[in-house]
Amino acid sequence: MNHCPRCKINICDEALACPLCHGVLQQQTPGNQPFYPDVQPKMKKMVLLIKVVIFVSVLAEGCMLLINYLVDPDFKWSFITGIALFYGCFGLSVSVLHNRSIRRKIVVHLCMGILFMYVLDLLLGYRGWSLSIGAPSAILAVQLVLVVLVIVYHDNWQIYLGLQIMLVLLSIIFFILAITNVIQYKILAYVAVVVCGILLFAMLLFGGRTAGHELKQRFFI
Amino acid sequence: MAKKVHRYDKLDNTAHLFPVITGENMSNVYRVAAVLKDEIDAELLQQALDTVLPYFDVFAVRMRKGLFWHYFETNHKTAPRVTEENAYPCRYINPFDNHDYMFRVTYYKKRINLEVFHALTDGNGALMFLKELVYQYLRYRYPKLLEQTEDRLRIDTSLDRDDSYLRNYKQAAQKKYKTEPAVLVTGEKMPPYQLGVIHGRIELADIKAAAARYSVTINHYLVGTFIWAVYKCFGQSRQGKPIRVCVPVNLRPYFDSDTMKNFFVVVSATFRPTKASYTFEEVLGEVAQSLREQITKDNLENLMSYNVSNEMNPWLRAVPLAIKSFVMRCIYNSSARANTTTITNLGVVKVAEPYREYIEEFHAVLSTSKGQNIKGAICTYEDKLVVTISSCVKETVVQKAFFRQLAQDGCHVSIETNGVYYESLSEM
Repeated sequence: MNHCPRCKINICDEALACPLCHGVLQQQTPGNQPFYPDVQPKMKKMVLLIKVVIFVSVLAEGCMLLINYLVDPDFKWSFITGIALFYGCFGLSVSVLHNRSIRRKIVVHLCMGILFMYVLDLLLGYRGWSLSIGAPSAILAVQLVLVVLVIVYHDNWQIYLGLQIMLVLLSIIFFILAITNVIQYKILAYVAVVVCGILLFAMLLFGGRTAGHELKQRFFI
Repeated sequence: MAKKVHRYDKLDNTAHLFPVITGENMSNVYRVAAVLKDEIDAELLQQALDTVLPYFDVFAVRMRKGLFWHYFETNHKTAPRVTEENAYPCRYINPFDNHDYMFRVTYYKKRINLEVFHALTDGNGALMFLKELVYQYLRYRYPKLLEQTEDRLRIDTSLDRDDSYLRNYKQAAQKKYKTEPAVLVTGEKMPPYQLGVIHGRIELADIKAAAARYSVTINHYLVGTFIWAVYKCFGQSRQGKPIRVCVPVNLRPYFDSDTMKNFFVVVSATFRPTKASYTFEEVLGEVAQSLREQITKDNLENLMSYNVSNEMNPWLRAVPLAIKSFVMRCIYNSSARANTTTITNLGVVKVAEPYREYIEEFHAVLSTSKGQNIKGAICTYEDKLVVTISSCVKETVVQKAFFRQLAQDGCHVSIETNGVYYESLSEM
């Protein structure tokens, strides 16, 4: 125990100076055990890795922009690589850095993936493959992942009901695009809406009261 | 294998705000801790947590997002791992690193820490859980205790999950949150995630005598002294701005509630300087008067009812959660600078007779929040009162003024820190 004659208080820390007035302490009884651990800031290795990846990506894209400009200025292929690198960095950061649920990561990747495909399609002269093939395929891929997750986490399957509903709504959007002829190749859009719809129906039917409670809580006003 | 039951529960009125404003930089986590007389056995502590947690539905939950509200769902995962403390107090609790639970239990030497996300419960509820955890741990550690007491929860422990806000509110008149800027405690900030903690231990008899000298209660005295410290360090240079301290008030005694959920309102002890200088007695007098006027059943009921009436408004209820969250964040941000600090008093912690000889002390630590770079928590056990001041500002001018005033009033004060202020010294 040390004593600060200026503040007139005892200091239990093993210290030379008072933490309040920074004056030198009178030592009274030596050997105070620290009350708190010595916290060392942990360098987050993953953060450093992501920063390295971003740095390398920016450098790489810079080089590609330069090469594109020098070699083939008419066709801006470096924009495609730029968007791909951006999507890669963003996807890596979402998947690794941010501690969020699997569902949130799936939704972010699905939306970013569809957006990426659409931008790519635009850059390549818009042929509509992103909306007619890419997006419905992404929805079906996520649907497959969801089925696996429901099987693996069957004790808590109802937490994926919200994601299933979202997939159905998304597939309906592409179904509407198909029937209004915005999308030319319509098969996949029809398949996506049918598959997602059937699986949602199965979840509600076989889920019974659990599904009911989940929906009640999700949509409780 | 028994089918796992998924129970759902709504958040109480206070809890709705916390998930919306919480992040890595503002954790809304507080700590209640028990210091025992012997070093902690980690395995026994884990065993005690595994035993006690299933009884406390308020803690054994995880938070989910609905379209309109957050809600709780029973968490069937194994209890969080008990680990040795290796980080600053009151760090953000990431449910995904913690088996989806929103509290953590750590230990260091003789201390057991329970850190709780405020959406779960308030200090009262946390202390109840901590006490049962400590009792169970002590029964494992010292089996001879089973000769003096049963191996079960105490009869004075409540497991009630009633939303007492909804049960006790009445239609209230409209009222606005304060947005007038208050004096803020500023200075060089510590690095992110760092929190400076100073525990001040004072004999209860000394504090009682000091408070009696000024004819105020212990709570008035401590809050008044803190405001005096802020006034001395920052108030005189910021004429016209009030010093406003949030004082949470436990509503359970007023409404005969035993709920484990949050059930408190915050009153503001305000000191507004209107002349060039004030004495300590003048500041204390104004603060005590401000608190006396506000801590009445009618006023507390009105405050509570105003908060709940927003939640019961059918138009607001139908607003999607994303928009509600955005609006709540905006309102919170606009009123964040209206308060200087928060001082909470957890009161006297009563421990059952057979366990007293094993327990040295209880204390609490609050995390800082937007605009409130310094906060205080008061806890009393046996004849010792512990005032814990937590801060994310390197300078200790307010703490110095506060403890010096206590010493001046005849209190024998011992302080202990978490070492952060010595790192600041070595940087100078």
